[in-house]
Amino acid sequence: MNHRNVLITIQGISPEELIYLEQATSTLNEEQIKQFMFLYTGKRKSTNDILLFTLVGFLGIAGIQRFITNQIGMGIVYLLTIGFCYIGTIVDLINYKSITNEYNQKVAFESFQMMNVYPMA
Amino acid sequence: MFHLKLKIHLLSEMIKIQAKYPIELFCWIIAMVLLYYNNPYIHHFTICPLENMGFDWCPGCGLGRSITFLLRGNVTESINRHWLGIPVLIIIIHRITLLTGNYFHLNKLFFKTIIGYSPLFGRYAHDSLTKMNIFISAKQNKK
Repeated sequence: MNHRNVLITIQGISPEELIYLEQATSTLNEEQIKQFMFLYTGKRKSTNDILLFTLVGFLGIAGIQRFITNQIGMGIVYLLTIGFCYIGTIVDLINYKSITNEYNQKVAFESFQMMNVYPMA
Repeated sequence: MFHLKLKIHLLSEMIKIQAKYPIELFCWIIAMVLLYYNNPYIHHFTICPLENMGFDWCPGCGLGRSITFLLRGNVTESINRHWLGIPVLIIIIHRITLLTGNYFHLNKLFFKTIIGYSPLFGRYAHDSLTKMNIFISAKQNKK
């Protein structure tokens, strides 16, 4: 089953994300896609948020984008070294889309796991 | 008509995903190679903005020299320069392995047709998702 009409309602969804989720949710039924949407939209980050958090790094507090995408080790290193003397922050500015996609894919997988642990009805 | 346009757009995006370069991976590897060939004893030209602005104190430069010593096997000198050198190197190597794994998985189809198998099987989100899909469909068939 194709759930594109449901998935397209996610705010700020990118085409890459849409393709990925379409493939991932192809075997779910109506009830399951509702539950998946509830779990996924609560946890996912949009690319614009990550870009903004990366830009905060130029003010001296770098690495927030790494913390909120679950890369805590990298986050601490970025914070202590001001984003490797701003070079790391510039790299993340180029790279923010793939950081977000990587995190969102993990979130989708976690949502699947949650659905199996706590099935609805 | 709109639908067709969307479909073409999505297809082109799909090709882009397959052909995308792992920028972050290249950055880390290049950084490691440059740090290995860096001379930590002399003061040289830097792109460090803090040092160019005239500050003596910079949290990143000592770390760079520390990692240089570590990559050349001089552990005591590395700890003298900056005690965070070892944990940072471990974190960066972990990140490099994770990114290479993700990259190979993204291009799994490519590697399957060329080499015949995909390396690092089953460790990453892409693969686990397809497995989970099979699991769910099996459950539904039982019902």
